[in-house]
Amino acid sequence: MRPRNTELGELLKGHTPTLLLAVLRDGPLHGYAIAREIERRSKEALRLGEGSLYPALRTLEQEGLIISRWETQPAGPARKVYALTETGAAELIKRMRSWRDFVQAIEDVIGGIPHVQQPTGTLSG
Amino acid sequence: MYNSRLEHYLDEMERPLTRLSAETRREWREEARQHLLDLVAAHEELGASPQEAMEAALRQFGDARQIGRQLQRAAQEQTMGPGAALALFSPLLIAAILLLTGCAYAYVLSGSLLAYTVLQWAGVGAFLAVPILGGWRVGRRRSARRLGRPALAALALPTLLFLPIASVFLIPMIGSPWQGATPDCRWGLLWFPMAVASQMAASYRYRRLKSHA
Repeated sequence: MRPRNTELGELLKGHTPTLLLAVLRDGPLHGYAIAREIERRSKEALRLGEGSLYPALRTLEQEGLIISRWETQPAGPARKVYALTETGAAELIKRMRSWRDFVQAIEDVIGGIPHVQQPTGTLSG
Repeated sequence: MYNSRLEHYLDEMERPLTRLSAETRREWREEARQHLLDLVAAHEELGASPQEAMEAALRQFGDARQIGRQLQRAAQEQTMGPGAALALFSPLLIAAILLLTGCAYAYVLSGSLLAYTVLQWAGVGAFLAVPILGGWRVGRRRSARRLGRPALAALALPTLLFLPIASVFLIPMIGSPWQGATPDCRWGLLWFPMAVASQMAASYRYRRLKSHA
């Protein structure tokens, strides 16, 4: 995961699998489409180092959370598409709950964004 | 130039994937190639030249060697590893050794030295071939999840069969498990607890891998 902002990158460490599961909730996609969908949903805030998506997909597949199959396309070569399994859907709900609890806890600690009065005018000598 | 750059990149990515089968490597390469070609097309649509588009696509995909290493790590988690698979095959090993040495001893009793020698070497062959070929093949090519209960049961079968066979045929022939046994048969008997221990270790690892699924 290579978000534009490095702080966001730190926050997101370890959450790539959750993002992948979330994107696959709406239907099967191939790797390129997954990358584009994450970009689209995050309004381009999250840009993947797209090759690193495949090890994460492989791990999710090994854990039985997603499955893959080669699908022939109307035009062009066959593509490998990934789909969420029932176990994966249940795991996604669990991870979403954990994430929301985590975000809520952090918000409770840091509170809202303080309103900082911006200085107006300029100093004149 | 355009294609050779892509192929070189894919070669780099594939280099660390030593634990994946040739078929899996070929599939992975094809998948990566299609992703990269989609990226190239997208960059070209935005006005980049073919060379610029290829370079941008490769940058966007990431460091080839690093991705290869990440995939290799994922594959290592996925397969049992030759060591664990080898241990799983040790029941076959013990059964092969003890049955063949037991048979060999029977031939000694019958007075045929040639039969004894042939069977002794067959025992040594089984000693080497069964765990090496079987363990290597399973550990390298089969994911732990795919090695389900039927396969494990099949692997355990020789051990289960060995006990009644030994009690009916082998032990009466040699008098007792130790006294009167030929030296290689003694080694076989010494091997037995090690084989059981290693199989238990392998089963534990298998269950741990499965519990992550």
